Amino acid sequence: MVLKLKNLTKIYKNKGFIITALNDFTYEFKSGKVYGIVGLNGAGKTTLIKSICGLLIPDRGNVFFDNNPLYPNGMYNLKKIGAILEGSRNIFWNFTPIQNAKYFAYLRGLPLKETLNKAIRLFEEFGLSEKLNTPVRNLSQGMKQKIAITISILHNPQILLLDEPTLGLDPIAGNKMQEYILNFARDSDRLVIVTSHQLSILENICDKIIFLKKGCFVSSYDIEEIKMNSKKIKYIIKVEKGNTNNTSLLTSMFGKIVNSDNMLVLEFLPKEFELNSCIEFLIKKGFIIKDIEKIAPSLEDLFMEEFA
Amino acid sequence: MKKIISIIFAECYREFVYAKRYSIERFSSIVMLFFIFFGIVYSSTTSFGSHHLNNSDPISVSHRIVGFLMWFFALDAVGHLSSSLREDLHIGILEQIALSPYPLMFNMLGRSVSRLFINMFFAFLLFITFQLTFKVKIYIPITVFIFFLITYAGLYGLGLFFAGLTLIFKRLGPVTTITRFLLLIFTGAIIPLNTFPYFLRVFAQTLPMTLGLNIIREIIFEKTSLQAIFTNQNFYLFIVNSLFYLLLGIFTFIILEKKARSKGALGTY
Repeated sequence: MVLKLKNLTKIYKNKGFIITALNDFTYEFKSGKVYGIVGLNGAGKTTLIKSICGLLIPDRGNVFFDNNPLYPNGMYNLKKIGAILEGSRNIFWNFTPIQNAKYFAYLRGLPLKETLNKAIRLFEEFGLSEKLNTPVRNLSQGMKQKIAITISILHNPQILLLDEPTLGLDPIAGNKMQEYILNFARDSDRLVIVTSHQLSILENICDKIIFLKKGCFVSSYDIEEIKMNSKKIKYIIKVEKGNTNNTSLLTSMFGKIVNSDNMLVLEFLPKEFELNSCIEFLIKKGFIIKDIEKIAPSLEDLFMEEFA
Repeated sequence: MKKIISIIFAECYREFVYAKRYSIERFSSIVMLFFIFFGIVYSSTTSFGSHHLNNSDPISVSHRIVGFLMWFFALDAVGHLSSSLREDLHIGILEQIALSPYPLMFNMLGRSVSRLFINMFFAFLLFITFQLTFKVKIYIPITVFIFFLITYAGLYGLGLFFAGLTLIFKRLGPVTTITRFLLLIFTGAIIPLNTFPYFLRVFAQTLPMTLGLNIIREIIFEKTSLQAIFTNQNFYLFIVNSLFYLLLGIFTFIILEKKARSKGALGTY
Protein backbone atom coordinates (compact mmCIF):
# COMPACT_ATOMS: atom_id res chain seq x y z
CA MET A 1 0.00 0.00 0.00
CA VAL A 2 1.30 3.43 -0.94
CA LEU A 3 -0.39 6.52 0.45
CA LYS A 4 0.37 9.58 -1.63
CA LEU A 5 -0.50 13.11 -0.57
CA LYS A 6 -0.29 15.52 -3.45
CA ASN A 7 -0.33 19.29 -3.01
CA LEU A 8 -2.68 19.13 -0.03
CA THR A 9 -3.78 22.63 0.88
CA LYS A 10 -6.26 23.68 3.52
CA ILE A 11 -7.13 27.26 4.28
CA TYR A 12 -9.43 28.24 7.14
CA LYS A 13 -11.34 31.48 6.83
CA ASN A 14 -12.99 32.80 9.94
CA LYS A 15 -14.32 36.33 10.51
CA GLY A 16 -11.81 37.93 8.19
CA PHE A 17 -8.87 35.83 9.42
CA ILE A 18 -7.21 33.51 6.94
CA ILE A 19 -5.12 30.65 8.27
CA THR A 20 -3.26 28.32 5.96
CA ALA A 21 -3.26 25.09 7.92
CA LEU A 22 -1.75 23.00 5.12
CA ASN A 23 0.24 24.48 2.30
CA ASP A 24 0.94 22.39 -0.78
CA PHE A 25 1.91 19.34 1.25
CA THR A 26 3.24 16.49 -0.86
CA TYR A 27 4.61 13.21 0.47
CA GLU A 28 4.56 9.48 -0.16
CA PHE A 29 4.10 6.98 2.68
CA LYS A 30 4.87 3.27 2.32
CA SER A 31 3.46 0.33 4.24
CA GLY A 32 5.45 -1.57 6.86
CA LYS A 33 6.76 1.70 8.26
CA VAL A 34 5.88 4.02 11.10
CA TYR A 35 5.98 7.72 10.23
CA GLY A 36 6.06 10.49 12.80
CA ILE A 37 4.72 13.96 12.04
CA VAL A 38 6.38 16.64 14.11
CA GLY A 39 5.75 20.34 14.40
CA LEU A 40 4.86 23.13 16.77
CA ASN A 41 1.27 23.69 17.88
CA GLY A 42 -0.77 24.82 14.90
CA ALA A 43 1.70 23.39 12.40
CA GLY A 44 -1.08 21.50 10.63
CA LYS A 45 -0.56 17.97 12.01
CA THR A 46 -4.19 17.31 12.91
CA THR A 47 -5.38 18.96 9.69
CA LEU A 48 -3.12 16.60 7.78
CA ILE A 49 -4.40 13.52 9.62
CA LYS A 50 -8.05 14.56 9.16
CA SER A 51 -7.51 15.26 5.47
CA ILE A 52 -6.17 11.74 5.00
CA CYS A 53 -9.22 10.18 6.61
CA GLY A 54 -11.88 12.27 4.88
CA LEU A 55 -12.94 14.25 7.93
CA LEU A 56 -11.62 17.46 6.46
CA ILE A 57 -11.94 18.08 2.74
CA PRO A 58 -8.85 19.92 1.48
CA ASP A 59 -9.23 23.05 -0.64
CA ARG A 60 -6.66 21.81 -3.10
CA GLY A 61 -4.73 18.63 -3.74
CA ASN A 62 -5.70 15.04 -3.13
CA VAL A 63 -4.98 11.87 -1.19
CA PHE A 64 -4.19 8.73 -3.18
CA PHE A 65 -4.49 5.18 -1.91
CA ASP A 66 -2.43 3.14 -4.37
CA ASN A 67 -3.18 5.78 -7.02
CA ASN A 68 -6.94 5.85 -6.23
CA PRO A 69 -7.95 9.40 -5.30
CA LEU A 70 -9.96 9.93 -2.11
CA TYR A 71 -11.63 13.16 -3.24
CA PRO A 72 -14.23 13.72 -4.53
CA ASN A 73 -15.67 10.23 -5.10
CA GLY A 74 -13.23 7.84 -3.51
CA MET A 75 -14.65 7.65 -0.01
CA TYR A 76 -14.73 3.83 -0.29
CA ASN A 77 -10.98 4.04 0.38
CA LEU A 78 -11.77 5.01 3.97
CA LYS A 79 -12.41 1.38 4.86
CA LYS A 80 -8.64 0.97 4.65
CA ILE A 81 -8.18 3.45 7.49
CA GLY A 82 -8.32 3.22 11.26
CA ALA A 83 -7.77 6.35 13.32
CA ILE A 84 -7.41 7.64 16.84
CA LEU A 85 -8.05 11.36 16.86
CA GLU A 86 -6.74 13.78 19.42
CA GLY A 87 -9.31 15.54 21.57
CA SER A 88 -11.90 13.08 20.41
CA ARG A 89 -13.38 10.36 22.55
CA ASN A 90 -13.14 7.81 19.75
CA ILE A 91 -15.36 5.40 21.73
CA PHE A 92 -18.60 5.62 23.73
CA TRP A 93 -17.86 6.13 27.41
CA ASN A 94 -21.35 5.02 28.39
CA PHE A 95 -20.84 1.68 26.66
CA THR A 96 -18.79 -1.25 27.89
CA PRO A 97 -15.78 -2.30 25.78
CA ILE A 98 -17.84 -5.17 24.35
CA GLN A 99 -20.75 -2.87 23.48
CA ASN A 100 -18.29 -0.52 21.75
CA ALA A 101 -16.85 -3.42 19.78
CA LYS A 102 -20.35 -4.53 18.81
CA TYR A 103 -21.44 -1.05 17.70
CA PHE A 104 -18.34 -0.46 15.58
CA ALA A 105 -18.51 -3.98 14.14
CA TYR A 106 -22.03 -3.23 12.90
CA LEU A 107 -21.01 0.26 11.74
CA ARG A 108 -18.19 -1.14 9.59
CA GLY A 109 -20.23 -4.08 8.35
CA LEU A 110 -17.97 -6.71 9.94
CA PRO A 111 -19.05 -10.26 10.79
CA LEU A 112 -20.19 -9.92 14.40
CA LYS A 113 -19.04 -13.17 16.00
CA GLU A 114 -15.61 -13.12 14.41
CA THR A 115 -15.08 -9.44 15.24
CA LEU A 116 -16.16 -9.84 18.85
CA ASN A 117 -13.75 -12.76 19.26
CA LYS A 118 -10.97 -10.64 17.83
CA ALA A 119 -11.89 -7.74 20.12
CA ILE A 120 -11.93 -9.99 23.20
CA ARG A 121 -8.52 -11.42 22.24
CA LEU A 122 -7.07 -7.92 21.81
CA PHE A 123 -8.66 -6.68 25.05
CA GLU A 124 -7.07 -9.64 26.82
CA GLU A 125 -3.70 -8.85 25.28
CA PHE A 126 -4.04 -5.36 26.73
CA GLY A 127 -4.89 -6.78 30.15
CA LEU A 128 -8.54 -5.74 30.01
CA SER A 129 -10.15 -9.17 30.34
CA GLU A 130 -11.78 -8.27 33.66
CA LYS A 131 -13.18 -4.99 32.35
CA LEU A 132 -15.09 -6.26 29.34
CA ASN A 133 -18.46 -5.42 30.83
CA THR A 134 -17.49 -2.29 32.75
CA PRO A 135 -18.68 1.04 31.32
CA VAL A 136 -15.69 2.75 29.73
CA ARG A 137 -16.26 5.93 31.79
CA ASN A 138 -15.24 3.96 34.91
CA LEU A 139 -11.88 2.95 33.44
CA SER A 140 -8.52 4.73 33.56
CA GLN A 141 -7.24 6.96 30.75
CA GLY A 142 -4.76 4.28 29.70
CA MET A 143 -7.46 1.63 29.51
CA LYS A 144 -9.71 3.94 27.49
CA GLN A 145 -6.89 4.54 25.02
CA LYS A 146 -6.22 0.80 24.72
CA ILE A 147 -9.89 0.18 24.00
CA ALA A 148 -9.89 2.98 21.40
CA ILE A 149 -6.85 1.44 19.68
CA THR A 150 -8.50 -1.99 19.70
CA ILE A 151 -11.70 -0.61 18.21
CA SER A 152 -9.78 1.32 15.55
CA ILE A 153 -8.13 -1.82 14.19
CA LEU A 154 -11.07 -4.23 14.36
CA HIS A 155 -11.62 -3.91 10.61
CA ASN A 156 -7.99 -4.71 9.94
CA PRO A 157 -7.10 -1.34 8.39
CA GLN A 158 -4.08 -1.04 6.13
CA ILE A 159 -3.39 2.44 7.44
CA LEU A 160 -3.52 3.46 11.08
CA LEU A 161 -3.55 7.17 11.89
CA LEU A 162 -2.73 8.08 15.47
CA ASP A 163 -3.05 11.67 16.61
CA GLU A 164 -1.33 11.97 19.99
CA PRO A 165 -2.02 8.33 20.94
CA THR A 166 0.00 8.38 24.15
CA LEU A 167 -1.37 11.64 25.52
CA GLY A 168 -2.27 11.25 29.18
CA LEU A 169 -0.85 7.75 29.48
CA ASP A 170 1.44 6.74 32.34
CA PRO A 171 4.92 5.50 31.31
CA ILE A 172 3.99 1.82 31.56
CA ALA A 173 0.81 2.20 29.50
CA GLY A 174 2.77 4.44 27.09
CA ASN A 175 5.43 1.75 26.63
CA LYS A 176 2.79 -0.91 26.01
CA MET A 177 1.17 1.33 23.42
CA GLN A 178 4.51 1.89 21.67
CA GLU A 179 5.16 -1.84 21.61
CA TYR A 180 1.72 -2.42 20.15
CA ILE A 181 2.09 0.21 17.42
CA LEU A 182 5.46 -1.23 16.41
CA ASN A 183 4.14 -4.78 16.21
CA PHE A 184 1.13 -3.63 14.23
CA ALA A 185 3.29 -1.98 11.57
CA ARG A 186 6.04 -4.59 11.39
CA ASP A 187 4.15 -7.86 11.70
CA SER A 188 1.33 -7.13 9.36
CA ASP A 189 3.08 -4.76 6.93
CA ARG A 190 0.76 -1.86 7.73
CA LEU A 191 1.35 1.84 7.48
CA VAL A 192 1.20 3.83 10.69
CA ILE A 193 1.28 7.64 10.87
CA VAL A 194 1.69 9.13 14.33
CA THR A 195 1.65 12.72 15.51
CA SER A 196 2.96 13.51 18.95
CA HIS A 197 4.71 16.16 20.97
CA GLN A 198 6.43 13.40 22.93
CA LEU A 199 9.53 13.25 20.77
CA SER A 200 11.19 10.44 22.72
CA ILE A 201 8.22 8.20 21.90
CA LEU A 202 8.41 9.05 18.21
CA GLU A 203 12.12 8.34 18.33
CA ASN A 204 11.39 4.87 19.71
CA ILE A 205 8.72 3.81 17.26
CA CYS A 206 9.16 5.72 14.02
CA ASP A 207 11.17 4.83 10.96
CA LYS A 208 10.80 8.25 9.46
CA ILE A 209 10.13 11.69 10.86
CA ILE A 210 8.49 14.48 8.91
CA PHE A 211 8.85 18.07 10.06
CA LEU A 212 5.92 20.34 9.44
CA LYS A 213 6.03 24.11 9.84
CA LYS A 214 3.05 26.40 9.30
CA GLY A 215 1.41 23.77 7.13
CA CYS A 216 4.46 23.28 4.92
CA PHE A 217 6.64 20.25 4.55
CA VAL A 218 10.07 21.22 5.93
CA SER A 219 12.13 18.04 5.85
CA SER A 220 12.02 14.33 6.52
CA TYR A 221 14.62 12.09 8.11
CA ASP A 222 15.16 8.40 8.69
CA ILE A 223 15.43 7.91 12.43
CA GLU A 224 18.64 5.92 11.91
CA GLU A 225 20.00 8.77 9.81
CA ILE A 226 19.40 11.16 12.71
CA LYS A 227 21.16 8.86 15.18
CA MET A 228 24.10 8.15 12.91
CA ASN A 229 24.67 11.71 11.81
CA SER A 230 28.41 11.85 12.52
CA LYS A 231 28.43 15.62 12.33
CA LYS A 232 26.14 15.83 15.32
CA ILE A 233 27.54 13.03 17.47
CA LYS A 234 29.25 14.30 20.56
CA TYR A 235 31.41 12.73 23.23
CA ILE A 236 31.54 13.45 26.93
CA ILE A 237 35.04 12.75 28.21
CA LYS A 238 35.70 12.67 31.93
CA VAL A 239 39.31 13.18 32.91
CA GLU A 240 40.98 13.34 36.31
CA LYS A 241 42.43 16.72 37.11
CA GLY A 242 46.15 16.11 36.90
CA ASN A 243 48.11 19.09 35.84
CA THR A 244 45.66 21.97 36.39
CA ASN A 245 47.91 24.28 34.37
CA ASN A 246 46.55 22.61 31.27
CA THR A 247 42.96 23.64 31.94
CA SER A 248 43.32 26.79 29.92
CA LEU A 249 44.74 24.74 27.11
CA LEU A 250 41.68 22.50 27.18
CA THR A 251 39.30 25.46 27.17
CA SER A 252 40.69 26.56 23.85
CA MET A 253 40.18 23.08 22.42
CA PHE A 254 36.84 22.05 23.89
CA GLY A 255 33.84 24.19 23.73
CA LYS A 256 32.50 23.32 27.12
CA ILE A 257 34.29 22.26 30.29
CA VAL A 258 32.56 21.47 33.54
CA ASN A 259 34.77 21.45 36.62
CA SER A 260 33.52 19.08 39.27
CA ASP A 261 35.48 17.94 42.36
CA ASN A 262 38.67 16.47 41.01
CA MET A 263 37.23 15.71 37.59
CA LEU A 264 36.90 17.67 34.36
CA VAL A 265 33.98 16.90 32.08
CA LEU A 266 34.75 17.77 28.47
CA GLU A 267 32.18 18.02 25.74
CA PHE A 268 33.77 17.10 22.48
CA LEU A 269 32.29 17.52 19.02
CA PRO A 270 34.50 15.72 16.51
CA LYS A 271 34.48 18.51 14.01
CA GLU A 272 38.06 19.37 13.56
CA PHE A 273 39.85 16.20 14.66
CA GLU A 274 38.95 12.60 15.37
CA LEU A 275 38.30 10.99 18.73
CA ASN A 276 41.54 8.98 18.54
CA SER A 277 43.70 12.05 18.12
CA CYS A 278 41.81 13.75 20.91
CA ILE A 279 42.48 10.86 23.29
CA GLU A 280 46.14 10.76 22.27
CA PHE A 281 46.40 14.48 22.95
CA LEU A 282 44.86 14.20 26.41
CA ILE A 283 47.13 11.30 27.40
CA LYS A 284 50.18 13.12 26.10
CA LYS A 285 49.28 16.11 28.26
CA GLY A 286 49.09 13.95 31.37
CA PHE A 287 45.32 13.61 31.86
CA ILE A 288 43.93 10.32 33.10
CA ILE A 289 40.83 9.44 31.08
CA LYS A 290 38.13 7.94 33.34
CA ASP A 291 35.18 7.67 31.00
CA ILE A 292 34.10 8.35 27.42
CA GLU A 293 30.44 8.53 26.56
CA LYS A 294 29.14 8.74 22.99
CA ILE A 295 25.98 10.78 22.63
CA ALA A 296 24.01 10.36 19.42
CA PRO A 297 21.87 13.31 18.39
CA SER A 298 18.27 12.97 19.49
CA LEU A 299 15.09 13.91 17.71
CA GLU A 300 14.71 16.65 20.27
CA ASP A 301 18.09 18.14 19.22
CA LEU A 302 16.96 18.11 15.64
CA PHE A 303 13.59 19.58 16.58
CA MET A 304 15.25 22.42 18.47
CA GLU A 305 17.53 23.04 15.53
CA GLU A 306 14.59 23.19 13.12
CA PHE A 307 12.20 25.20 15.25
CA ALA A 308 14.02 27.08 17.97
CA MET B 1 -26.74 -2.38 0.40
CA LYS B 2 -25.64 -4.94 3.01
CA LYS B 3 -23.23 -2.39 4.48
CA ILE B 4 -25.93 0.27 4.63
CA ILE B 5 -28.27 -2.09 6.45
CA SER B 6 -25.39 -2.83 8.79
CA ILE B 7 -24.99 0.89 9.57
CA ILE B 8 -28.72 1.13 10.28
CA PHE B 9 -28.33 -1.90 12.53
CA ALA B 10 -25.41 -0.25 14.36
CA GLU B 11 -27.52 2.80 15.10
CA CYS B 12 -30.45 0.63 16.21
CA TYR B 13 -28.11 -1.21 18.57
CA ARG B 14 -26.85 2.08 19.98
CA GLU B 15 -30.38 3.42 20.49
CA PHE B 16 -31.47 0.25 22.25
CA VAL B 17 -28.43 0.33 24.56
CA TYR B 18 -29.28 3.95 25.40
CA ALA B 19 -32.98 3.16 25.81
CA LYS B 20 -32.10 0.39 28.27
CA ARG B 21 -29.57 2.47 30.14
CA TYR B 22 -31.82 5.53 30.39
CA SER B 23 -35.14 3.73 30.73
CA ILE B 24 -36.18 5.62 33.89
CA GLU B 25 -35.60 8.96 32.15
CA ARG B 26 -37.62 7.78 29.17
CA PHE B 27 -40.48 6.49 31.32
CA SER B 28 -40.53 9.77 33.24
CA SER B 29 -40.87 11.75 30.03
CA ILE B 30 -43.75 9.49 28.97
CA VAL B 31 -45.47 10.09 32.31
CA MET B 32 -44.91 13.82 31.83
CA LEU B 33 -46.48 13.63 28.36
CA PHE B 34 -49.46 11.83 29.83
CA PHE B 35 -49.98 14.63 32.32
CA ILE B 36 -49.57 17.29 29.63
CA PHE B 37 -52.27 15.60 27.58
CA PHE B 38 -54.46 15.11 30.63
CA GLY B 39 -54.10 18.82 31.35
CA ILE B 40 -54.91 19.77 27.75
CA VAL B 41 -58.09 17.68 27.64
CA TYR B 42 -59.18 18.57 31.15
CA SER B 43 -58.64 22.31 30.70
CA SER B 44 -60.53 22.33 27.40
CA THR B 45 -63.57 20.58 28.85
CA THR B 46 -63.92 22.30 32.18
CA SER B 47 -64.39 25.79 33.38
CA PHE B 48 -63.11 27.19 36.66
CA GLY B 49 -65.24 26.01 39.56
CA SER B 50 -67.18 23.35 37.71
CA HIS B 51 -66.16 19.89 36.53
CA HIS B 52 -67.88 18.25 33.64
CA LEU B 53 -65.18 16.12 32.12
CA ASN B 54 -67.56 13.19 31.86
CA ASN B 55 -69.87 15.30 29.75
CA SER B 56 -67.19 16.21 27.31
CA ASP B 57 -67.58 15.08 23.73
CA PRO B 58 -65.89 11.64 23.47
CA ILE B 59 -65.32 12.13 19.74
CA SER B 60 -63.38 15.29 20.44
CA VAL B 61 -61.28 13.51 23.07
CA SER B 62 -60.65 10.60 20.71
CA HIS B 63 -59.58 13.02 17.97
CA ARG B 64 -57.21 14.64 20.43
CA ILE B 65 -55.77 11.29 21.51
CA VAL B 66 -54.94 10.38 17.90
CA GLY B 67 -53.56 13.87 17.27
CA PHE B 68 -51.48 13.82 20.44
CA LEU B 69 -50.04 10.37 19.66
CA MET B 70 -49.10 11.54 16.17
CA TRP B 71 -47.44 14.55 17.76
CA PHE B 72 -45.65 12.20 20.16
CA PHE B 73 -43.96 10.62 17.12
CA ALA B 74 -43.34 14.05 15.58
CA LEU B 75 -41.69 15.18 18.82
CA ASP B 76 -38.95 12.63 18.33
CA ALA B 77 -38.80 12.58 14.54
CA VAL B 78 -38.18 16.32 14.41
CA GLY B 79 -35.85 16.72 17.38
CA HIS B 80 -34.05 13.48 18.05
CA LEU B 81 -31.62 13.48 15.12
CA SER B 82 -30.54 17.00 15.93
CA SER B 83 -30.15 16.34 19.65
CA SER B 84 -28.32 13.03 19.17
CA LEU B 85 -25.92 14.68 16.70
CA ARG B 86 -25.38 17.50 19.18
CA GLU B 87 -24.57 14.94 21.85
CA ASP B 88 -22.13 13.17 19.51
CA LEU B 89 -20.46 16.50 18.75
CA HIS B 90 -20.40 17.38 22.41
CA ILE B 91 -18.79 14.15 23.58
CA GLY B 92 -16.51 14.08 20.55
CA ILE B 93 -17.49 10.75 19.00
CA LEU B 94 -18.93 12.07 15.74
CA GLU B 95 -15.63 12.06 13.87
CA GLN B 96 -15.08 8.40 14.68
CA ILE B 97 -18.60 7.61 13.46
CA ALA B 98 -18.06 9.71 10.32
CA LEU B 99 -14.84 7.84 9.54
CA SER B 100 -16.72 5.63 7.16
CA PRO B 101 -17.08 5.27 3.40
CA TYR B 102 -20.80 5.99 3.76
CA PRO B 103 -22.50 9.35 4.37
CA LEU B 104 -23.81 10.13 7.85
CA MET B 105 -27.28 10.10 6.31
CA PHE B 106 -27.48 6.34 6.80
CA ASN B 107 -26.61 6.70 10.48
CA MET B 108 -29.45 9.18 10.77
CA LEU B 109 -31.82 6.76 9.07
CA GLY B 110 -30.80 4.03 11.52
CA ARG B 111 -31.38 6.31 14.49
CA SER B 112 -34.78 7.28 13.21
CA VAL B 113 -35.89 3.72 12.46
CA SER B 114 -34.84 2.48 15.91
CA ARG B 115 -36.53 5.39 17.65
CA LEU B 116 -39.67 4.70 15.66
CA PHE B 117 -39.77 1.15 17.05
CA ILE B 118 -38.99 2.27 20.60
CA ASN B 119 -41.64 4.99 20.40
CA MET B 120 -44.22 2.56 19.08
CA PHE B 121 -43.93 0.69 22.36
CA PHE B 122 -44.37 3.87 24.40
CA ALA B 123 -47.14 5.15 22.12
CA PHE B 124 -48.99 1.87 22.69
CA LEU B 125 -48.67 2.38 26.47
CA LEU B 126 -49.98 5.94 26.15
CA PHE B 127 -52.78 4.83 23.83
CA ILE B 128 -54.02 2.22 26.34
CA THR B 129 -53.69 4.63 29.28
CA PHE B 130 -55.56 7.43 27.46
CA GLN B 131 -58.42 5.10 26.52
CA LEU B 132 -58.75 3.89 30.11
CA THR B 133 -58.46 7.38 31.59
CA PHE B 134 -60.94 9.08 29.28
CA LYS B 135 -63.22 6.07 28.88
CA VAL B 136 -63.13 6.04 25.09
CA LYS B 137 -62.57 3.22 22.64
CA ILE B 138 -60.57 3.82 19.48
CA TYR B 139 -60.23 1.17 16.83
CA ILE B 140 -57.24 1.68 14.57
CA PRO B 141 -57.40 -0.14 11.22
CA ILE B 142 -54.11 -1.57 9.98
CA THR B 143 -54.28 0.56 6.78
CA VAL B 144 -53.65 3.64 8.91
CA PHE B 145 -50.01 2.59 9.23
CA ILE B 146 -49.34 3.28 5.55
CA PHE B 147 -50.43 6.90 6.02
CA PHE B 148 -48.67 7.07 9.36
CA LEU B 149 -45.40 6.02 7.71
CA ILE B 150 -45.79 8.55 4.90
CA THR B 151 -46.45 11.28 7.50
CA TYR B 152 -43.48 10.06 9.51
CA ALA B 153 -41.28 10.26 6.39
CA GLY B 154 -42.11 13.97 6.08
CA LEU B 155 -41.42 14.53 9.77
CA TYR B 156 -38.15 12.59 9.43
CA GLY B 157 -37.25 14.92 6.55
CA LEU B 158 -37.79 17.92 8.80
CA GLY B 159 -35.69 16.18 11.48
CA LEU B 160 -32.90 15.62 8.93
CA PHE B 161 -33.11 19.29 7.95
CA PHE B 162 -32.48 20.33 11.57
CA ALA B 163 -29.79 17.65 11.97
CA GLY B 164 -27.96 19.11 8.95
CA LEU B 165 -28.17 22.59 10.44
CA THR B 166 -26.83 21.21 13.74
CA LEU B 167 -23.65 20.07 11.99
CA ILE B 168 -22.89 23.70 11.19
CA PHE B 169 -24.67 25.79 13.83
CA LYS B 170 -24.48 23.27 16.74
CA ARG B 171 -26.84 24.73 19.33
CA LEU B 172 -30.15 24.34 17.62
CA GLY B 173 -32.10 23.00 20.60
CA PRO B 174 -34.45 25.99 21.03
CA VAL B 175 -35.34 26.01 17.31
CA THR B 176 -36.37 22.35 17.33
CA THR B 177 -38.31 22.88 20.55
CA ILE B 178 -40.27 25.77 19.00
CA THR B 179 -40.95 23.68 15.89
CA ARG B 180 -42.19 20.78 17.99
CA PHE B 181 -44.71 23.01 19.77
CA LEU B 182 -45.72 24.60 16.46
CA LEU B 183 -46.59 21.11 15.32
CA LEU B 184 -48.65 20.50 18.45
CA ILE B 185 -50.65 23.69 18.09
CA PHE B 186 -50.92 24.34 14.35
CA THR B 187 -51.50 20.87 12.87
CA GLY B 188 -54.86 20.28 14.44
CA ALA B 189 -53.39 17.69 16.82
CA ILE B 190 -55.22 19.12 19.83
CA ILE B 191 -56.86 22.32 18.59
CA PRO B 192 -59.36 22.00 15.71
CA LEU B 193 -58.08 23.85 12.65
CA ASN B 194 -61.47 25.45 11.94
CA THR B 195 -61.01 27.61 15.05
CA PHE B 196 -58.04 29.34 13.38
CA PRO B 197 -58.19 32.37 11.07
CA TYR B 198 -57.84 31.61 7.37
CA PHE B 199 -54.13 32.45 7.01
CA LEU B 200 -53.27 30.14 9.90
CA ARG B 201 -55.33 27.37 8.34
CA VAL B 202 -53.34 27.77 5.12
CA PHE B 203 -50.10 27.81 7.09
CA ALA B 204 -51.19 24.65 8.92
CA GLN B 205 -51.65 22.78 5.63
CA THR B 206 -47.99 23.37 4.77
CA LEU B 207 -46.71 21.70 7.94
CA PRO B 208 -45.55 18.09 7.60
CA MET B 209 -48.16 16.54 9.89
CA THR B 210 -51.47 18.26 9.19
CA LEU B 211 -52.61 16.53 5.99
CA GLY B 212 -51.48 13.09 7.17
CA LEU B 213 -53.28 13.50 10.48
CA ASN B 214 -56.47 14.53 8.68
CA ILE B 215 -56.40 11.41 6.52
CA ILE B 216 -55.61 9.18 9.51
CA ARG B 217 -58.57 10.64 11.42
CA GLU B 218 -60.85 10.24 8.42
CA ILE B 219 -59.97 6.53 8.24
CA ILE B 220 -60.30 5.96 12.01
CA PHE B 221 -63.35 8.04 12.86
CA GLU B 222 -65.27 8.46 9.62
CA LYS B 223 -64.45 4.97 8.30
CA THR B 224 -63.51 6.52 4.94
CA SER B 225 -62.51 3.86 2.44
CA LEU B 226 -59.07 3.76 0.86
CA GLN B 227 -60.64 4.31 -2.54
CA ALA B 228 -62.25 7.51 -1.33
CA ILE B 229 -58.93 8.64 0.15
CA PHE B 230 -57.02 7.96 -3.06
CA THR B 231 -59.50 9.90 -5.15
CA ASN B 232 -59.34 12.90 -2.88
CA GLN B 233 -57.11 15.78 -3.94
CA ASN B 234 -55.82 16.13 -0.39
CA PHE B 235 -54.18 12.73 -0.62
CA TYR B 236 -51.94 13.98 -3.46
CA LEU B 237 -51.18 17.17 -1.59
CA PHE B 238 -50.27 14.99 1.38
CA ILE B 239 -47.85 12.90 -0.74
CA VAL B 240 -46.28 16.05 -2.24
CA ASN B 241 -45.99 17.60 1.21
CA SER B 242 -44.27 14.56 2.74
CA LEU B 243 -42.01 14.15 -0.27
CA PHE B 244 -41.08 17.83 -0.14
CA TYR B 245 -40.01 17.65 3.52
CA LEU B 246 -38.20 14.35 3.00
CA LEU B 247 -36.23 15.65 0.01
CA LEU B 248 -35.59 18.97 1.74
CA GLY B 249 -34.12 17.06 4.68
CA ILE B 250 -32.03 14.71 2.57
CA PHE B 251 -30.55 17.42 0.35
CA THR B 252 -29.94 19.83 3.21
CA PHE B 253 -28.20 17.13 5.21
CA ILE B 254 -26.02 15.99 2.30
CA ILE B 255 -24.96 19.56 1.48
CA LEU B 256 -24.33 20.55 5.10
CA GLU B 257 -22.42 17.35 5.89
CA LYS B 258 -20.11 18.19 2.99
CA LYS B 259 -19.82 21.74 4.29
CA ALA B 260 -19.06 20.46 7.79
CA ARG B 261 -16.34 18.22 6.38
CA SER B 262 -14.95 21.24 4.52
CA LYS B 263 -14.94 23.40 7.64
CA GLY B 264 -13.69 20.62 9.88
CA ALA B 265 -16.84 21.09 11.94
CA LEU B 266 -17.44 17.41 12.66
CA GLY B 267 -15.00 17.54 15.53
CA THR B 268 -15.89 20.87 17.10
CA TYR B 269 -18.64 21.91 19.44
